[in-house]
Amino acid sequence: MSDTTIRMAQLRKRYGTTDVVAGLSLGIGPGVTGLLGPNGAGKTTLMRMLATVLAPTDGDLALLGRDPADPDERTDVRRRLGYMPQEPGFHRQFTAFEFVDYVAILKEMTDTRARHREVRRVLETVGLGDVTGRRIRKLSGGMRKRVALAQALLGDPQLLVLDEPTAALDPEQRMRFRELASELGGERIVLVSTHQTEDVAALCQRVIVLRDGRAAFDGTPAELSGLARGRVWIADGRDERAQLWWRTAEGRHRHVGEPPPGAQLVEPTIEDGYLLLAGPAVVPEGLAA
Amino acid sequence: MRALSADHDDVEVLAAVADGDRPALRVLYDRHAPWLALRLARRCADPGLVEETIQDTFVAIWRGAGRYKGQGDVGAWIWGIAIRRLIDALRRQPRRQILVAEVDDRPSAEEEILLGVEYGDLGGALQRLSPQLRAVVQATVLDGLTSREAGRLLGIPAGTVKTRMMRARAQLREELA
Amino acid sequence: MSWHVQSELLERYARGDADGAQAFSVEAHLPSCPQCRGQIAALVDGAVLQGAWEGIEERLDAPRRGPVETALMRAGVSEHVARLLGATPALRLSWLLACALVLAFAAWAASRHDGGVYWFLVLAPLLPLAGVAVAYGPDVDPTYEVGLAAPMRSFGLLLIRALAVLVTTTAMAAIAALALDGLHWSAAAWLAPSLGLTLASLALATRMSALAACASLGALWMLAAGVGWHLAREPLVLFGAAGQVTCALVAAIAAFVLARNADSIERRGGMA
Repeated sequence: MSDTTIRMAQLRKRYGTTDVVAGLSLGIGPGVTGLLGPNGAGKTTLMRMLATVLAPTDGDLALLGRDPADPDERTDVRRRLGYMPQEPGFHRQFTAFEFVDYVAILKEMTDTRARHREVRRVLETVGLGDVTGRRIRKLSGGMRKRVALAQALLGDPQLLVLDEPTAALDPEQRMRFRELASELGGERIVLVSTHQTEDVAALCQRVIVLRDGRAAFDGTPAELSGLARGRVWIADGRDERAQLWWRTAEGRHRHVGEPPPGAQLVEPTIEDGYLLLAGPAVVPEGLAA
Repeated sequence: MRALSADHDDVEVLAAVADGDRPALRVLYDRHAPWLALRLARRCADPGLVEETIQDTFVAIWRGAGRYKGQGDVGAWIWGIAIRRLIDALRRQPRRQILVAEVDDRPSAEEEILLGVEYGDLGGALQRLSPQLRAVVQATVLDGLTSREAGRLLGIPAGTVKTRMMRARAQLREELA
Repeated sequence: MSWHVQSELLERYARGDADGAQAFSVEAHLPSCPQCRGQIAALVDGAVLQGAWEGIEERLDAPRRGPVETALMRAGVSEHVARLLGATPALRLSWLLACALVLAFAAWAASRHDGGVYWFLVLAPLLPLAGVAVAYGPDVDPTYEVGLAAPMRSFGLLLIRALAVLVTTTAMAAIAALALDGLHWSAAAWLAPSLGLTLASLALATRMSALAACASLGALWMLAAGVGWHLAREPLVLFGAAGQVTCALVAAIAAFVLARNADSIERRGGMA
């Protein structure tokens, strides 16, 4: 079966009385898809279900054409899956090479020479080819994230689930990640969850905005920014009627919401669209350009 | 980690290696592995063993770069490591066709005259030593080995190394007197 | 450096055509002359050098083998399984030494007092239990999440680690038991409880974390031991025929439960 899609129907995950994921019905195909949403929107829970690490409470889920509820098919999915969790954990005494080698063993790569070659390949891909021998506890935070990404790339998986891969990275590292992720796009399904709308703008062919466990938006980045067309304006002073506002770097005020008549409208960004959808629950990351 | 360029001398590169800089080891390798390979090949006919020795040498350099304390050229220091690794490797192997075949390449009368012109007396005198004697001179003088190490390299007892050295010295002294 | 080797001689040397004295000069000169070294580098087969370099990288990167891994591999365990076991906290040398010390102390204490044997027998089964507790799980294995998403059956990993822990602690306890003088049968009376507790903890681990399972069973066992000590006039009755049969039964039931529920551990996911 060469199905390269994810399909879910009424996917639900309930903890106690709360539906953290509340009846999602989506189809995801090859390319880079971004998952945006505030904390508590169900992003990580959804990612974990798609990475076969968490069982849904309800609903249908088909990963690469296979049913993760069935143990054999689930193992089949895992052979084609790379998962980078939000908080990657490491055996700190391992070197970068040893750690990725360990995960490679978990991924059933039993032939030593071939496995070592693959470990070196993924470490080179993420730009860590020169520090393979360094202990993880001596690596910077950004490098550790790259090690976590490297292990997800082992075995050239068809499905990549990356949970907040750019969190805590500096802008240069984020740029490097974006380059890598777009290269990986192609025929693979790459799912990236993030807080950063710039990541989405630069990288994703498609973006899904999650809010309270539901898909508040599903479309292209251009459509997301289009949502805010005619709803973003700049003024010198603060307008209390706006849904959201903030000071720009030039000392003026950017507003998102219902513009008063005669307001100076500006071209909306993805962030504007996202803020409109996600509402006051979201704190803007930094100042608008 | 500063990026290394061709301008950095061996001492600086070695210091970076001691710091755990892997690309620095590559720079050192690119500079020194070629001549090492050739020099080792003239002491051991088995190319597999030569390659193994080169690997042993650079792994040893990686681990022991901190031990270089400015005692002479880095190249000479590296050679000291390499030749001893070769001796270790030879000891691990059963003695078969390991040694370079001893070819009697003593010069003809004409060549003797030419040699005398190009290299002076010493070169000619060295050339006129038998291959056996020349091998011990090479091992002890050029390679800086002790009699025991030279013996291990050449597959002869240390005592024989000493007697051959005495004969070589005597012959050279006689020729150059 | 003012004198350099002539290109023609360098080429002959590289080909192996330089005679003795000439080769001497070249070799005495090369190690300290970057210029001539650079020239000769061009004359050596780059492919061979690159191959040797890759071998060097392989050796520098190759995962370091701990003593436990080496021992396992000598015992015939394949390299990748040995690596997985080597990463088990409970199989690290420090842990094993701690177990050995505890057992040695218990055996010494047992030989001192009359009732000491009882506490040795109570203690011995707790060791594999403690080992299983730290063998796998979100609290103790940093790669837990990543491991869940990997094709290798997580429960299988827990099982082989538990097996390794059981084997090592049993061997150590057996050696310590030999040091006990006195009753022959009691020297092995801890075996069945050991097996029973370990299997029961694994069975429970299909429903809760290994840590929680082992902690609760450990507490239960200590409670039973304490009660047995205070109530029965003959405390060793806990390890008598009835006790052994009970432990064997528990072991059998646990094994059955294990076989039925082995893959549920994978779907539970973490705690959050």
